[in-house]
Amino acid sequence: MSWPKALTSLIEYEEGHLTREQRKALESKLKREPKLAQELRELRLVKQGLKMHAPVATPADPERLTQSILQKLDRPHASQAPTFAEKALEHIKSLLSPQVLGWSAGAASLILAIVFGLRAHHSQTQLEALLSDQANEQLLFQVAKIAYQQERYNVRSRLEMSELVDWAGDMDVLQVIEKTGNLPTEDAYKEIQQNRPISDTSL
Amino acid sequence: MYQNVVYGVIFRLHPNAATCEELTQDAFIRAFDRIHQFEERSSFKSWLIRIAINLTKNYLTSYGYRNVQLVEDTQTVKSAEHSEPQSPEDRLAHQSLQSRLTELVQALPEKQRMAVILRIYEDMPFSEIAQAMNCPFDTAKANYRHGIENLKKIIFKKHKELSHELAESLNIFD
Repeated sequence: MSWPKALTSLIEYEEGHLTREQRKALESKLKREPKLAQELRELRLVKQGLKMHAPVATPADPERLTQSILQKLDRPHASQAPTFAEKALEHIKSLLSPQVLGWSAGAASLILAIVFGLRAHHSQTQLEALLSDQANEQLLFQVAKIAYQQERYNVRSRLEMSELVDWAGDMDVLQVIEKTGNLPTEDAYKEIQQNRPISDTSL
Repeated sequence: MYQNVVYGVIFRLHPNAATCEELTQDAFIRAFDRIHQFEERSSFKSWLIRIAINLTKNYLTSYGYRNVQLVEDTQTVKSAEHSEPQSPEDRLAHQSLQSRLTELVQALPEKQRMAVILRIYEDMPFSEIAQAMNCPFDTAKANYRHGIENLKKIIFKKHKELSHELAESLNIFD
């Protein structure tokens, strides 16, 4: 193994990118070659030193920064759709707050994308109709939460997300969720779309 | 949830608190305005960080920054509080070492600096680093590797006293 390649292997080793066989081979080589072992020690020193002496970069006043962001986000929408803007900002606020409900980044991403996606996929009238009913808003979040819990969020395309929003206004979907604790299957959803009673076999 | 991460990345590229706040706000506003462009090929966090990186680079370019010079903002820059040094001499040594290490990172070529910052300081996996830097996975790893190798060379060959101080600091604060 050439020296540059050996050095590359050390970094890969430290990052956990070697296979088990490669690790064993390198560890055996480290025992035989003091110079390589010294390189590893130096590499670790650099990494640990950078971490130890990292300048921690946080805003002096995180709350004030959050408020500034929210104000700037609010400005273009305030005159158009107060209802949607008010609710969207509440959702965004919860995402920017450190105390987001114990949800992981994935769930927060989903919610944020849905909230933003509402604007991308629906007219103002549709949005207001959707969000003017508090039950719909609750359902939207319940659906999103379940989707996250089922780890479906990571495969959702934009179109699916739009469908998710459409579902949110459909009380049949709520019934399925209450009955099964899950989102409707594809078959059940087709039955919902066709306004057919949902058969138990399709759940 | 993402505010501090975005702020942190921007700050490490350009350690000026006031500018960082402005750029952080701009990053969120741009994300909001361009959410329809988010295609979910990356995580939302990576996408947001990419926006922040691009805004910072544009800012630095437009204001004539070539190699980013360290501008210490003592109101904001704090040491990682793994173990707080006790004596005034230790605190002084800690600050000085931190400044020098930060300068060395800042002096790396842009892509190496970015990869090192995201990996070491933000603890991001290479898949997310690749998304944030808009490059292939192996390229992100290569940039990181070259950055770390360069830092190691500089510390252990050109600034040996720094390597001694570094080793001592890790023993002292262990």
